[in-house]
Amino acid sequence: MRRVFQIVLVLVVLGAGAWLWKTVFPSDQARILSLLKALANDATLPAGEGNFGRIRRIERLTSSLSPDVAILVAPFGGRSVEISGRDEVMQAAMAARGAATSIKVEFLDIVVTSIDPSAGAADAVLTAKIQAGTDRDFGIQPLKVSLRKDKEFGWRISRIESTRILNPE
Amino acid sequence: MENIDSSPTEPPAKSSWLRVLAIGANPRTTVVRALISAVILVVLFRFVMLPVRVSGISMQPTYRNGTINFVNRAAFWFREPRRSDVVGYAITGQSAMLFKRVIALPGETIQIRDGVVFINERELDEPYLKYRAAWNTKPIAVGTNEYFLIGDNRGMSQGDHDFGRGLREHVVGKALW
Repeated sequence: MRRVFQIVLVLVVLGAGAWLWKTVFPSDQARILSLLKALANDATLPAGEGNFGRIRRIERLTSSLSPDVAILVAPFGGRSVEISGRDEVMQAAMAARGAATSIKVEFLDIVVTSIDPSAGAADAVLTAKIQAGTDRDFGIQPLKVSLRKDKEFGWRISRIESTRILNPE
Repeated sequence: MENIDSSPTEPPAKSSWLRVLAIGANPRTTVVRALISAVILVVLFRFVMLPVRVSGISMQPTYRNGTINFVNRAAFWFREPRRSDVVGYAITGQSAMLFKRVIALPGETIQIRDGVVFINERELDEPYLKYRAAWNTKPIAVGTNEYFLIGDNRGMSQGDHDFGRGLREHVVGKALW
C-alpha cells in the first residue's frame, strides 16, 4: 500500500512539474492559441459595458495586431470589409461598438496549421462565431490568420482573411 | 469455545421504497451502472452522435431554423456518402458544421440551369425541394475526393446560399433524421 502511495505521489509531482513548465515556458503554439482566444474575448462587446471598459478592450484588441495588419473579410452574402493598419482597425472597432449594443465573438476549432520559429511566421485557421444582441441566431465565418513574431512583443497578427467553406466553381 | 451473542436479534432493516427508487437495492451496483452509463453517453454523444442545432434557412423546409438534430458519424464508417444524404460538413473542426445535401458524387459533372440540377447532363429528380428559383451555374467537375453539397432552400437568392464542392474528409456524418 505504501509502495502504491509512493508511485502515485511521484506521478502527481511529475504531472504538476510538467504543468508548471508548460505554464512558465509555453510553446509557440500555446502562445498563439492564447493570443487568438484573447483576441476573440477583446472583440466581444458585453451588454451594458461602460465607455472606459470598451476603450480598454479596443486597446487590448489592437495591441495583439501588428502595425501593418491587413484584414480582408468577405462574409457570405454580406458586404466585404478591407482594413489595413492598426489605426484603421481601431477606428472601425470604435464605430462598430458605437453602433451595436452587444456582440459576442467566439473563435471555434482553432488549428495552428504551420509554425516556422526561425522565420518568425505562423498560420492558423479558425471558425469565428458572431452573435449580435440577444439574438439566438449567429453568423459563422471561417478565417485564416497569419502571425509574425516580434522580438519585443512576441506573436502578433499580421493578416486576417476570410475563406470559403465550399467551392462553387 | 463457542462465542454466543446474547444480545437480542433485530430484524434486518428493510429498504424503504424511496431509498430503492433513488439509489437501488444495492448502492454499489447502482454506482457502477451509473458510471458505465455516463461513459457510454459521453462516448456516444462526443464521438458517434454529435448533437447540432440548425441555424439559418438554407435547408428549409426540410430543417427549420433552430431544429435540433444529430450527426451520425457511424453512418460513413462502412460506406461512402450517397446522393441525397444530408450530411454535416466540418468547417475547421466539429464545433460548427454546415448541414447540406449531397447531390453530386466524385467524378460527376454538375450544372444548374434555371434551378434544375443536371448530373452528367441528366436531370436530377429532387422530391425534397419545395422552392426553386432560377439558379444557374456553369458545368462543374467534382473531384475524386469531393462531393457537391447544397441546401434544400433553392428559393433564396443564389448569392446568399453557400453551396459547392467540399472535400470528403470534411464530411463528418449523416443527419440522423
